[in-house]
This record gives sequence, structure tokens and C-alpha cells, in this order.
Amino acid sequence: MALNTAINLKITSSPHIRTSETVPRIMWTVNAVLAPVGLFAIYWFGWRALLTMFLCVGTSVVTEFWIQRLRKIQITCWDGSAVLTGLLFAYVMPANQPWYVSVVGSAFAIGIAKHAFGGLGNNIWNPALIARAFVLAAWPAMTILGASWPLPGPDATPGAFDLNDYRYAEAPATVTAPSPLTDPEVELTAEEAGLPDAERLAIIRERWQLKVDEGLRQSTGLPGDASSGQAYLRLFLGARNGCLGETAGLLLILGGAFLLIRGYLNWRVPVFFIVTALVVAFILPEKIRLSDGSTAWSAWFEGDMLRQLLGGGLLIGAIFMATDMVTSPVSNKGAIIFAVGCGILTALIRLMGGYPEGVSYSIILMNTAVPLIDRHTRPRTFGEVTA
Amino acid sequence: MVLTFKGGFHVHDGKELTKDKELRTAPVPELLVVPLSQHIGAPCQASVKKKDEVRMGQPVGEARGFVSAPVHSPVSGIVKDVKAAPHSSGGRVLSVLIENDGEDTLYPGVGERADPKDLSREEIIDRVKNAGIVGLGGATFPAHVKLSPPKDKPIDTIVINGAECEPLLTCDYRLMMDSPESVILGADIVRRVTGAKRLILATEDNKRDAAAVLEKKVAELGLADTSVAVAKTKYPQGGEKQLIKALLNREVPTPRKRGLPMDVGVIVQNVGTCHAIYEAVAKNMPLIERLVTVVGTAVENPGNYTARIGTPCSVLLEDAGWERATALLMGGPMMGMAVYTPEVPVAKGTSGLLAERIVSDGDPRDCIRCASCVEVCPARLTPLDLSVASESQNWEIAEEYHVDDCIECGCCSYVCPSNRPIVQQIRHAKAALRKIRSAGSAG
Repeated sequence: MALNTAINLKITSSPHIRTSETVPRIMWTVNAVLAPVGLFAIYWFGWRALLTMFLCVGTSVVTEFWIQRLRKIQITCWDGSAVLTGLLFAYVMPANQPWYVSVVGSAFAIGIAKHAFGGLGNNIWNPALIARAFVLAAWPAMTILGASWPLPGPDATPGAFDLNDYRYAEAPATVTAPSPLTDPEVELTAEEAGLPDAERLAIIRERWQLKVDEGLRQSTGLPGDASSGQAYLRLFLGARNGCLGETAGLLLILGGAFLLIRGYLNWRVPVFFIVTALVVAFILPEKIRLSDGSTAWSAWFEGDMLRQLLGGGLLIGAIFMATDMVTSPVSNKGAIIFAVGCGILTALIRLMGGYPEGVSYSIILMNTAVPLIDRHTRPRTFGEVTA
Repeated sequence: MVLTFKGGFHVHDGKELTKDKELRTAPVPELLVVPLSQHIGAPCQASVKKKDEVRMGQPVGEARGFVSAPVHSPVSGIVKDVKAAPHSSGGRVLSVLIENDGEDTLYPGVGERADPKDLSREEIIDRVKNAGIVGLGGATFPAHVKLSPPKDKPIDTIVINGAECEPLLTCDYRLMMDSPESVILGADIVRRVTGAKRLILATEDNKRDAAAVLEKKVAELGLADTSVAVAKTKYPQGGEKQLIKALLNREVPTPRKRGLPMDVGVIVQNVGTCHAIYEAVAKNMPLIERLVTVVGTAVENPGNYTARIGTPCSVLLEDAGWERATALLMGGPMMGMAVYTPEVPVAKGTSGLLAERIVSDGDPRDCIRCASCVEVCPARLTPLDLSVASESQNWEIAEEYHVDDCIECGCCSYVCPSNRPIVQQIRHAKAALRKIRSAGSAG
């Protein structure tokens, strides 16, 4: 007894047990789930994809290390969160982007978007998406890249590594096809332009549809006689041009399912985001650019939902970006409002904006609204009855 | 239909360590320490002094006020001293130290049998009150107060809480298995006194055998309007508001409106309390012993004990064998209190003794808003907001986000991947607000 009473008993506050869940475990799990997507990107876009990922992840970790060192706070650059930010930034950029874009973008994501706001948990916007917005604004020519991506496929030589490819000046030379979401420009002859409105519009719409289909085959590297079904299958499997990590639709969905099972993901966000975006894109007409600078509109209730789902960054955005715990609402009701908002904005930007991709900006905009959403969607406290 | 509530979680409960072991009788030590504060409400006033001779079951502390409960001598012997001694609350509390003469000579009247049917409502409440019975589930609220609901709050249902949702604890389970009759008869007394019609004996579905034992006994006794309910095994199913919600789908109003189970026509009593009520009413036996689960990673031979109130924890721990403990908890792992010395005595609310070798949790980090705490909170609060509000000492926000509704079940801290001491922060905020309010009402 004397022995035991001599022991120093620790006084801790209840509860005295905890789950083994930790922030690093969550972060590394998400990284692991994203790894197959990266492997696919290396297979599909070549070794340049690996270099881009390496630069983005490396810069993120190093930036976090130095910032924490300078702020004299605990160094957590290996908790998986900086790696995740770097990886996600790489995934939403072209595989062949210049090396300094990778470096500057990642440093911005960690240094400004994350640490200037107080570090993990305190940032308002998704750091990877803010970095993407930043580099697209900093190098306006990158927006061309944003609309037109390198087209790999049978002619590409994965493994061929040429540092010169990374020089920004030469980047446009690698552009071979527009994104599956790019609005093609429709040309009319002078004769057609003089037709009555209804007839003219019918011609415009028909020609626009042909060009869209053509673009879809091009971006998936299919010959001119391929069916659209083949094109959609290739979009789904990831055999298309696009951002490094956004093309592999199947792998992204599988990864999301795994996170859902592990309880790291609120299914309401991706489901409501995607369904809303597709429904709105189905209902609303799409803007058609004409070669004379004027615009026309496609028909109502005829939107191509599969192209919208698989052609751009909707899957990676809805499954991995909008679900970022830090920058999304905490209640289920809030998550639904947030996701529906993302979906509506995505569809509006895609169909009516001057930019084919709306996912990243819609998420950033809705991130901004999260504190407001949280405030107004607090759960009803137990016992708050009106009796 | 699954009987459950929203929030909470299921965790491996470790009850197999002790549940099937035969009940042991704890050694009665030479010196017992009976704290004068073993309940919620005003502490007792010592009614004995140094060198007084006391008998087993003799009151040694008188209740002060309505919400209070007397304490009794668990043995016969001599009062060695009345002084402050270590207490489970973390500090020292005025206690009666009794030197045991080993005779267990009964105080006059104690143990006198009576048929509860022959006693009036007032007589029963008096017996419960004089026996010093409090809620034995851990809340230690004086039982006679619950038996005297105001006239404008009619009670239709009595719920007997045998959920025992805390991991590791099995003393309520053991009681239901070993003494179902006194539990049921005690519950029936509560029903009679409060004028309720219906009686529900509730447990969780990991204790189906106990439910079967109770069901059989209810049939044997031929009690009408009495049922046994099996709710989902989930922490904190045994929280009385959660249990009422699960069984009856009634929501007890918020504490901000002073809501109590009786506002929805329900009174909840723990199974141990029912047993004690039966002992008090039928045998005139004051509350001087209880069942305690002794378990934990530092305990060699865990089990359940019948222990006299006032027995130092070290006596039970020595009997069960303990080694190299780094923490000693009174109660369960989710809501129990850590104590700084094993000399703290077993009190009326001590359901468990956990001697643990706890490994450090690591430092808390910033909240990543994963919302796990929101998902598990049975009070449906947003614990992450309360945690941050408390951290930045923003008491207005804490109040606005209903910090007073927190039942301190610990689910939020349990799931937090950032290791944040959320419950501790919430307690801090509650205390700060109490201070502000009392200052406000004084000035």
C-alpha cells in the first residue's frame, strides 16, 4: 500500500478515453486515397506529372517548415496537411505547367492562403484553390492553358522527359485540344446570317452541337467516327485532356467512397453539389459564341449532363475540394446549403460566364459564405421545445 | 423499432472484464472516512463529535435544507475525528472519521422490517429521506426530492435506468442479475409514491440477459403496467434526457428554462437507487453500502464489490490487486473524476474505481472543423464553437451557443482528432458565466 500511495496520480479532466483519430491520420488517409489518381496522371500525362506533383508537395512542406520556424510555433509540416495542399494544387493545374508556377503557387497556398490566416483550421478559403486562382491571375496566359490542355494519348510518349518542355514560353506549343467544356465558336455565312431568326438559330444550334461533339472526341483522342458513348466512357476513365488530377473520374469516385466509409467526408456535400450543378446545367441554355462577336443561346432543358459531370473539375471539386473540413459548414443543413450554392454557381459560370470552368471559383465564393451559413444553420438545441 | 436518440457513439465497452464475476464483499477497514457532502445540494451538518460512540446505521450528518441528504455510520465504533479529508471532488471535505469496532452493532430501529403496502406516501418519503438515499447512477441528486413532484406536474411514467452506458462499469448489471426483486419492488414503490401509472425498466441491448431476468421477475411478481425496454447500446444512453427521448420520444425542456424530466411527466431513477429505496422502505436500512466496479489497466483482478460507504479506495484496490497506476478515476472513463490519492473514500455516488495506466494524449491542436463533435453531441450543440469561445474567453458567445445545455457527457472530447479538451473548456465557460451572473444579481 505504501508503494502505491507514493505513486504520483495524474489529474486529468473527463473524458479519460479518446478515439485514436488524429489530424495527421485524417490527412494522410486523404493523401493515400489521392495517390492512385497521381499514379494514373503519371501514366497518362507522363513523367512531367510526377515532377509537377513533386515540386508542389515539396514547396508546400518546405514553406510550412520555414513559416512555423519563423513564427516559433510547433513544426507540423509532416502532419500530412501541407502535403495534401500541395498535392491538391498540383491536381488542379496542368501537368506540364512551368516549374516556377508550381513553386510560386504552392508557396502562396501555404504561406498566404493557410498561414497568413493562422494555419491549419483557421483559413477561410481552400488553400489549393486560392493558389490556383492566384496563378491564373498572375500569369493571364495560363488561362489559355486553362481552356486548352495538353493532349496525351497514343501519340504521347510517357516517360520522355525534356526539361525544355517546362519553359513557359513553349507551353502553348504543347496545347493540342480544347477542354471538353470549352465553348466552340460557331461561324455563319453571310447568307445564313440573313435568315429569319428561328431558322438562323436552328442552324447555329446544330452547328454548335456538332462542334461540341467534335471537341469531345478530340479531347479524348477519338477518331471522327467514334460514338459519343465511347467519348463519355473515356471521360469517365480519365483518358482525356485536363488538369493533372481531375481527369480520373472513376478513381476520384472510388476515393470519395473510401473517405465516406471512413467517416471523413459528409456525403451531402458532393451529392448535392453535383446534382445541383447537373440539374441547373440541364435546365438552362448555354451561351454560344459566334465568330462575328455576337452570342446566341442553346435550347432550354437540353443541357448535356454527362459532359458537365465528366468533362471538367466537377468530381475533384465536389469530392475533394468542397468537402475540405476547415472551409465547409459544420452542420448537415449548412453542408446542403453550401453544396447547392456551389452547384448553382458552377453551372452559371460554366454556361453563362466567359470561362469554361466554374468549379474552383464557385467553391471559393461559397467558402466565403461559410461563417454566415454556420451561424444560421445551428442545430436546434435538445430541449428547445416550443411547449 | 430501435430505441435510441440522436448523437452519441458506440465504443467497445470492456464490460466483459467484470460482468460475469461473482460479487465480492469488500474488506471493512479499521478506519472509515464518511464525507459530509456526498450529494448535490447543501452539505450535511455533523451530528456527532470526536470520541462519540456510534452504531451501524446511525446518522452522523444531518441534512440541511430540502435538497440535501443525511449520512450514516457504515459500521459501529468510535468517532475518531471530524475533520477535512480528501474527497472525490479533488479537494478536502469535512468528514466523519470512524474507528471500526468490528461488531457491526445496529442502531436502534435499523433493519426493522415493514411491508411497504402498509406505509403511507408520506411515511415512505420520510424513510427514503432519512435513509440518505441519493441518485446512485453518479448524479447523487437526493431521491426524496424526485419522489415529491409539485402538484402541477403530474407524473405518468417511471423510468428505471439500467442502461449503464459508461464503458467498463458493470455494477448496475450485476445488481439487476443478482437482486432483480429488490430493484423491481423499489421501482414499484417509486411508482406508487408519485402516482404514476406506467413503469419501464430500461437497459441496453448488450444486457439482454439482465432484461430477461427482470422480465421474468416482473411476471412472477404479477405487476401490471410494467415493461422491460431494451434500448440501443450507445453512449450516453443512460443520460436521463437521452433515455426519455429513446423510450418515450419526449424531449425534456432545456435547463435554461429549468426543464426537468417531471416537465414531461417522467421520473428517472437508477436501478441502484431503486434497490436502496426498497432496502430503506422495507428494511429501514440507510444507505451505508453500495456496489462498486473495480477495473482498469492497472488492476490485476477486476470485479464488482459490495463496499461500505467510507471505505478508502486503496482498500478495494489492494484487494483487487493494482500496480503502477498513473491515474485513479472515480466513476466511468467518460465522466469519472480523477482523484489525486487512493485514500479518497467510496461515497454514495461512486459507481466505479478505475486504476489506469494512461499514456499521454499529446498536445491539443487548432480545431479543423471536422464537425465530429457536432455529430455526436446528444444535446445537439456545436461544441467546436463553445471550445473556441471558451479559449478566447468570449463568454457572451458561449452563452449564445447554449453552453448551459451541455450535459458534459464527453462525447465531443472523445471524438476530437485535434485532441482538444472541449468538456474542460465548456466547464470553464459555465463557471465563468455563473460568476458573472451572480455578480450581476448581487449588484
